[in-house]
Amino acid sequence: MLRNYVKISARNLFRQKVYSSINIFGLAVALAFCTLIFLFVRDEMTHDSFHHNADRLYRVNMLTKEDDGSMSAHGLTPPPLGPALVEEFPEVIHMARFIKRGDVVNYQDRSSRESIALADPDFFKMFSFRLIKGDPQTVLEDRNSVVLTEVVAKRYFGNENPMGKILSIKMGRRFFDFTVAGIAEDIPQNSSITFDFLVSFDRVRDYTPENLLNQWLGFTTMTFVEIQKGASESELEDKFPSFIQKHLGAAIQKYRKRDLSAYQAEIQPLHEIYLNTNVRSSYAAGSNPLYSYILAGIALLILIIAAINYMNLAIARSATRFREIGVRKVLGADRKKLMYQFFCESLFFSFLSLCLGIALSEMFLPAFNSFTNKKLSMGYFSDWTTLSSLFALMFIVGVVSGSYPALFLSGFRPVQVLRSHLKIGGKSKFSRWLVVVQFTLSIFLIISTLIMTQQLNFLRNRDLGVQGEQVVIVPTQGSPAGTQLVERFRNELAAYGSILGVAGSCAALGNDGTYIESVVRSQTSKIMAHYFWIDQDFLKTLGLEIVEGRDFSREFTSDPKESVIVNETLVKEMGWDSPVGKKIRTFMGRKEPLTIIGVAKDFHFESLHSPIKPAIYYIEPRNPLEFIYVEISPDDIPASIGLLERTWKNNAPNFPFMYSFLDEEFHKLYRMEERWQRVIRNTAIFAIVISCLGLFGLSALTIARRTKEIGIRKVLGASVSGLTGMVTMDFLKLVIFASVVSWPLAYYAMNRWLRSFAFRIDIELWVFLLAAVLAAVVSLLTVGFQAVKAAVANPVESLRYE
Amino acid sequence: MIKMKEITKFYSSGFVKTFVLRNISLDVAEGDFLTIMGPSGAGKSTLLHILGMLDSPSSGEYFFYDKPVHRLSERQLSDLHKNHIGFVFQSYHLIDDLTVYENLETPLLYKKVRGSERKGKIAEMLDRFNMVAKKDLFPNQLSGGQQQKVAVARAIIINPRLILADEPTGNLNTKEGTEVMELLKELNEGGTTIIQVTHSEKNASYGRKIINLLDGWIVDE
Repeated sequence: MLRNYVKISARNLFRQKVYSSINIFGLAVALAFCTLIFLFVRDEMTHDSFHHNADRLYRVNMLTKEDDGSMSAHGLTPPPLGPALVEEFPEVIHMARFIKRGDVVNYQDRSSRESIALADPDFFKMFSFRLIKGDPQTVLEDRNSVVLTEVVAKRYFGNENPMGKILSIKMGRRFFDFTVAGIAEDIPQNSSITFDFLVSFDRVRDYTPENLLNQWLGFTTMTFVEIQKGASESELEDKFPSFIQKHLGAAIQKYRKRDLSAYQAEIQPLHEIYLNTNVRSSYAAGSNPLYSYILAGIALLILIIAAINYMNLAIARSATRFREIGVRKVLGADRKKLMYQFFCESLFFSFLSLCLGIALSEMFLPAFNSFTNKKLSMGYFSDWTTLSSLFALMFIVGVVSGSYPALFLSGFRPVQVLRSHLKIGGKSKFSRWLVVVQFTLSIFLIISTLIMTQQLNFLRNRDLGVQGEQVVIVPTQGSPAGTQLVERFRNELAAYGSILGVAGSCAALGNDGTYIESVVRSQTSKIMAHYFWIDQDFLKTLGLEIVEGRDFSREFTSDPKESVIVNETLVKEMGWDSPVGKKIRTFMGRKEPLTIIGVAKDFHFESLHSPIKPAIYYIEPRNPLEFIYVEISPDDIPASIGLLERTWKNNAPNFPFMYSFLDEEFHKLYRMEERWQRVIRNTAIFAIVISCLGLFGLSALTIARRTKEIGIRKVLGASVSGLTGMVTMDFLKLVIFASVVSWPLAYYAMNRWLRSFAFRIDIELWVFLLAAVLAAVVSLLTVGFQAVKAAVANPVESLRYE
Repeated sequence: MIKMKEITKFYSSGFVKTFVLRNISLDVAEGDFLTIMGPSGAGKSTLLHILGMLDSPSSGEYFFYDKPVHRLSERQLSDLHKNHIGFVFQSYHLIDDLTVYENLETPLLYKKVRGSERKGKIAEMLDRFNMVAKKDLFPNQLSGGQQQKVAVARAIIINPRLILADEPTGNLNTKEGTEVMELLKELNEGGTTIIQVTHSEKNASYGRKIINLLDGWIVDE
């Protein structure tokens, strides 16, 4: 019997190729989409769960009171906190402090900047990072040892045995030799704690003065603790106030003059770290759970829509099988057998969809991984949840979509079906609403994509007020000789025509921009301003025009001591008419007031989310310059970069040469927005495809129901174009209605999104019209094909069996 | 075998009752060959459907082998007709997606006949109707006469006591029609009761008994 059913389903499938493939493909695409999102969300939700003791591992957070009275959490803690916890609380059995920093690693003649982690000896006892080589108990006790991950070891030593090799690693101002004493298995990609190079925590002394290490008010290290089995988290936390009082009390009163309640501590379970974005400053990777929720929501919506589409199509298909149902009843099938047959059939179809869906998700997994920055895999056998949930999903979709023909059609009396007096599926108001919902979503997403693209283009093309394309930034990487390095670059490159200027500054611009914001005070008022510590050539090299007064110059030896240049916004905020010659006081380093010698044109040193803020530029010889800005001529850029690299190698042989273009750095500010724009764009394409499948199903259903009507109209003299128009208009109305519904929604959402930018485009009417026209065209193509087919058909065919 | 008393069938739409059959009383004995004749809309097919338990009367009593059909449940009806009644339709009503072999197999599957027995019966039918070479073809690959032969074979494969034929030759040419009618005659001679609906005087002549329907009434017998 079952064989018979499978056979008939398979033949049905081949006979109605278009329907079947659309039906199976639509569901498969949705299943694939859901699979990928499922993998993503599961990965996000199960971060850090691979540690054996995960339920007993905690991070200690410090809580401080904000001006508005709320407490904010910091992932970093004072260095002496960890040892004190182990000493004073018996339930804390292990602790490991953890710090990550970027610094230079040299091996033989290669030099690169790497991420160096420092951790206490218990690190490998607490966390389940496995060592392939080396002794996890002792490896972090030797302050001259370094643990590498497998990939890093491979990168440095290829197939040679890495154990015992010597690496030269810079800690603070000096290079030290480290012996490779351990190789760790590659960090699982769902770990929020990661490292490439791991050395003993004791190494912190290389670059931190002893008094800072014992300092309870400096939050500089992450502290993890493992508590005893059965110990209570809340009981431990209850003891924290007196602990804080004991250690921080004196210091708080002396330095901060604040109430002790302004400082608290908490422990946070390890698995909560990743998705908690409220904890500031930490060395652990984190992610906003909003992503997961939004994606899961979209996936669910798409799956429901696809399942109902699938059902619509299944109903449309089963309409052609009324006769078969009647015949089977005449031949002795009872209702149960027919139900069984239809359920089998729809499960067969959903099984095919599942197979195709899995194939599709395998196909798109690499792209999805690079898109989400993850290393997800299906893990068919290692993890039964993926496959079993997929099968459960298949079963539900199969049963639900088979239920209409199974429950409804099987109940008919054979005479009714054989005489085909039957109307399929009532007026199917529900299906029409479904199409409206789908198109509302699609049009909403199309509008969002268009507006986001417009805004991002606007951001990219906006004149930032500096020349970015030809300015190369070379970081000096904490070299103590940063200032001299800039000097040598300037001298050595002066002879080359392709180098138009060399300048230095203490802070980077763009993506990694770390600005110092502090108070600037004139005689009458006080405002917050950004501080730029630069050299004499900076403004010139970046093409910043001086609108009043003069630029810094080496001819004025007093410039480094007493001159300052301000931007136009600062002048505006101070309310000055003639700023040049005015004196201001700064609060970073200088006791004496500085004299304004010039006003520089405003430029966007921050992202366009915020308006331009007041800024001051001055020369601070005590701070080494950390970035070299080189303006190069637009012809033969590779040659210029080569020249810079040679110059670097001559002057800083122990450091890797790194560079970037200023405009790229500025573009990186919008990476998050670009990622969202891509997510929305892809979802829009997806939603359109799914909606069209739904529309296809509905129109197939409607046209099947109206075949007789179309036949009669034709006999009465209706033209093909008239009939096509009649049928398509019906659906066009739905799309137009959906547009009207989606417009205010899209306007609201996009207006909110745009409001996060200080500089933004205006929302224009044509975007809404374009989206509606797009949706209408796509839906016309979908329906039109079938409408024409129905209208062209010979009316005799459709009326014969009546 | 069949006893009908005062069978009436009407459809009501709104406040209007449309009568299809009125006060039909009928006796059919085992081994009869009955022909129902009448113009279009006289209620012939409806009567046949009621006889075949595919439709139920609005009022009246119907006994099949002394069982009160009008009081049986859906399930009992299904059992009764799948064991005793075979149908032949004007438009054959073969299942398009199944081969000749599978079409013949379907009623046996519903009767839960076992595999080996099923094979034997189908082989016997194919042989009897000279269709062995065509067993793997699909209905649309056959001529109308051949399709109707398959339909007849499918109807009798369960050894029914009663065959109901609704204009069995309506879509066939004269030669094919004669073949099918000869077949029915043969079956009748073998003891199967046959009730047919037809317009054709020639077909009616195969039967031994004729009833005429007009506007739902039996006119004479």
